[in-house]
Parts: sequence; C-alpha cells; structure tokens
Amino acid sequence: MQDEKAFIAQLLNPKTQDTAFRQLVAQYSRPLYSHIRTIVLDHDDTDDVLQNTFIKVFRNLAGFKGESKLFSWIYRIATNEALTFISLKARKNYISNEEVNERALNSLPADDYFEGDALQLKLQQAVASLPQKQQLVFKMKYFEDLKYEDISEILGTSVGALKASYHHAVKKIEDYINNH
Amino acid sequence: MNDFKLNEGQKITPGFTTPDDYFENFTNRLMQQLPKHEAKVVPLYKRKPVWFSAAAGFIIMITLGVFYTTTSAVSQPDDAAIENYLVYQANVNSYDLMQNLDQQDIDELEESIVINDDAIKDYLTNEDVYLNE
Repeated sequence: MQDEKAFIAQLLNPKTQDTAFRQLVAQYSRPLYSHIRTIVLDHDDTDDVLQNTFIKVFRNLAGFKGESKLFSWIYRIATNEALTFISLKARKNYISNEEVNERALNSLPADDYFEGDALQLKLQQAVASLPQKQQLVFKMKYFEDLKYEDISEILGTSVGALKASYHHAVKKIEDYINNH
Repeated sequence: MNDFKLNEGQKITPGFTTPDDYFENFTNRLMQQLPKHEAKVVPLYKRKPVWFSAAAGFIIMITLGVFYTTTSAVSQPDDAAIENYLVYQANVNSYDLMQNLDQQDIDELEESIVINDDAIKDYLTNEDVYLNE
C-alpha cells in the first residue's frame, strides 16, 4: 500500500508524471485490453475504449483519493467506459444494447483479430445470452481470472452475491452449449 | 455435447488476438494524446485585486482626460500671439502676406484700419517721391 501511495505521488508530480504514467500503461494495457475486449468484442472498439480509459485515468488522478486500490479504480473506469461505449453505439443506431452485442458477436467470425474455434465462438454466444451483470461476473472470473474480492471492489457487489452470480452463469452457459 | 462442463478439462480462452506490436505502439500513441500541462487559468472575477485594477484604470482615464483638456486649451493661441509670431519668428515678409490676401481681406482691412489725419500728413511729409509727382 505504501508502494502504491509512492507510485500515485509520482503520477501526480509533474516531474515524474510522464515516466510513471508510461509505467502504469505498460502494466495495465494488456489486462485492461482483455477486460474491455470481452465486453465490446471488436478490436478497434476495444482500442478506442482502452485509450479513453487511460485518458480518463490521467485526467482524474488528482481526484483519486486512495479509498480503493488503484487497480480496482482503473478497472472500474474501464468497465464504465466499455458499457458507456455500447450504450452510445446503441443510441446512435437506434437499437438496444443487446442488439449491439449481438451484431458484434455476429461479426466476430470475420474479425481479423479473432482466432477462436467453434467451441470458443459458441462460448461467446452463450455468454452473450446472459443478463449483463452475470456476463460481467463470468468474464472477469473465468476469462480474466480475477479474485472475487477484486471483482467485488470493481463492481460494488458483495463477494457472496458474486459467487452466486457466477454459479448461475456457469450453469446457464453449460446448458446453452449442451443444447446448441 | 450433452455432458459439457465448463470447469472440467482445459480452460477455454476467449480467442481474441491483437495486431503485431499493438501494445508496444499503444503506449507511444497514448502518450501523445494525453493532455499537456496547461497554465492554470484563473478567471478574472476570481482575482482578488479586480477592484484595484478597475480603480487604476479609472484613474488613468481621468488623468488622460484632464491632460488632453488642459493641453488643448493651452495649445490654442490667441490672435496677438499669431501676429507676434508672424512678425518676429516666421520667415514671412510683407510681400508674402500681400500675396495671400484676397479682395475681401483688403476690404475688411480698409474698414478696420483707422488712419487719422496727422498720420497721413506725417507720411506725406516723409515720402518726397510722391510729393514730386
């Protein structure tokens, strides 16, 4: 925690900010990319959201009070940015968020940056059939291997509720794959 | 596939990939987009001595006003000053003056110049040339 405080101080100091922020981007860009990509699915959209996330982090660093871990704060921003992106896209095209997801899913086989096989694609379709909150929990736990405690801090949901949610998600996904 | 279990066997990855060197280039691309440090802009109304600036501006305006009023009054010379200047300072002789007089000026001069009889007599006495004619 002390290290994190020192690192945040470096991020806020104009003299060390550049180097510290580079370090932060190097550390977080890969896991955040994966996190955002599982939500928005398309590579170019992920790239946009990832950039917006870091810009938002940069702009709001001064307001970061250290009440939560830097890690969960950044993940929270990324999650919000990704969900907002989908909502905006839906509004722009006069369709629902679910339809945006469905379209992204349908174009996934043609995506240059998707190399999944039939089972991987089916898994994506199964996940997309879940309610949004269950989708998030499943993706963060199964694909990203995050701890329940961390997911709890990011999503603001109790660990118990997350475990129940994940359990339900797994059941539904297994049913979906077994029946499709 | 009726016995599919998610948590049995090898974990299924999402299957997403990225372009080559994506993350290497991403950092540089992002750093260029970050907002640069900007000088903090303090709104004028938040500045404490705004009343001071306003008072200073007012005083300058008043001073300039007074200055221009007084200098313009001084710079307007009276007739005597012009006359003295033309006679003693300016490089203007009688001929130049006559050249610039038109008929109306001459008529006005004739009316305004009062020559008494003694002056005429003195003039005629001293000007022999004319007496001889």
